[in-house]
Amino acid sequence: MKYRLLLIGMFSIVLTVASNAQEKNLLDELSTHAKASSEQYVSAFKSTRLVLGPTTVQLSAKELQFRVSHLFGLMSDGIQELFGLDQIYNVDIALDYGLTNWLSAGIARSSDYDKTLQTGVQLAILKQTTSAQWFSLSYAGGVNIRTRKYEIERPFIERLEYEHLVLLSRKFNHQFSAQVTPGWVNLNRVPTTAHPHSLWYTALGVSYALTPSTTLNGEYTYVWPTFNDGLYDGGKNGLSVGVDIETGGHVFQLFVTNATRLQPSGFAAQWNNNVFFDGDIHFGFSIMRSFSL
Amino acid sequence: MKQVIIGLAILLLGSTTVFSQHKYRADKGFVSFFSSAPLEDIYAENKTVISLVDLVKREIAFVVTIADFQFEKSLMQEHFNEKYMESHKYPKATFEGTISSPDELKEPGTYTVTVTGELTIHGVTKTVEVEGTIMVGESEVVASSEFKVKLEDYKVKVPRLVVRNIAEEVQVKVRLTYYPVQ
Repeated sequence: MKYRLLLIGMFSIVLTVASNAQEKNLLDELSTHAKASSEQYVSAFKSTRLVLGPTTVQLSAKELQFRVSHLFGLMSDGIQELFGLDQIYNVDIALDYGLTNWLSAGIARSSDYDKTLQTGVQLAILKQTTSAQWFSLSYAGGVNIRTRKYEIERPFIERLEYEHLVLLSRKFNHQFSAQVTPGWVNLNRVPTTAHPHSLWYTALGVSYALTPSTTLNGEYTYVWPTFNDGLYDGGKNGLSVGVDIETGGHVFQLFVTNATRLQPSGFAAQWNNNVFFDGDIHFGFSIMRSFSL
Repeated sequence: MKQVIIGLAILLLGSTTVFSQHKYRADKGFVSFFSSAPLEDIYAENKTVISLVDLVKREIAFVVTIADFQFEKSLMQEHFNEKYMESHKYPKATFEGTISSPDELKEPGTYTVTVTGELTIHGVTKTVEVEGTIMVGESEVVASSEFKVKLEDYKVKVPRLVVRNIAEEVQVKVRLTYYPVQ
């Protein structure tokens, strides 16, 4: 009898210990139920522009973005011209609106020689997410109209320029993103018969986050030498380096570039650019502000 | 030997049923926060909070998935995850604590309670004490609370450029409906 009681006693101790061990604390028990973090869209860059070219960053539905870009004179003009700051070379004012989370439309106007009015759309085809989708793919395209006065009357069609860009980006980690942008530009009117109407290019862009709010960006636009060698100058391919400073709804971009035009149809046309490594570069900035309507 | 078996059976039954009887679980709990700053008001809510409450042991625990906070502006949501909460590093906020109340939380009714425990946000754990109510119904239990969270306490850094957009302290509201754990 004593033996039996002892046995029961032992069992009860063993069982209590066992059941206590099973009885994990509530938080551990919950963690086993917790699902993995839900999928989020990842945006590779701070804004809709890397430096001059568009990025895969898509405006959300009913988001209105106002952008103003300034490009100053040549930094190589030296202190007399305050390194170009005395002149305003080009001002580009843009409004873009998100029609849906996948499609935005925009209008912009540049003060360049041709007084280019730009219209365009951007369509997000694939968006990178935290785990399922590893890159973003977008299409950007538009029709630009040169609104300047010509000495002699020209057919309207000659004022038009077309742009088609495919944007492919990936955010590799929380600091580094890259984008490849194959583009095609058609200019209905060019300076001479030697100049090509059709230009193919591939832009490479990289972005590195210095802090959670600032990124260092670089962009190189390689124009394919599909035209006259004498006219083609590899040194004039667009090269831009910039910094993005993001403050909630605003993004400030400061950059230097050898391009004098701020839209793809302008900077892909090499003859508009300077040779970066001759020091003929311009300082510029963009301010972007988003409004939710 | 018979006695041993009976004894065992009683022990087994006792140890498995007593603990789970007053355990309730919530799967679609609600938590929101509101930040009011001179330039901007920010509001976000999350409807995927999971929680367990044990009314006998008087314990309560929460798990909040940071990426599930929904904002009115998608840009805010992106900045919230990437810049402030760093949800890639700290995907969850958790709470684990004990409930103190002068009453037994058995009979249906509404009880004012104080919950004390460890709140972990952005990888930082702090001991907090909040007031709340627990409503015990026929089959479900509803818990709700409102309290303030100071961003600095959880090392959520607000850049100086946006100090006028984001409040130092945010108002948090929690409301969960629990059902018995089967």
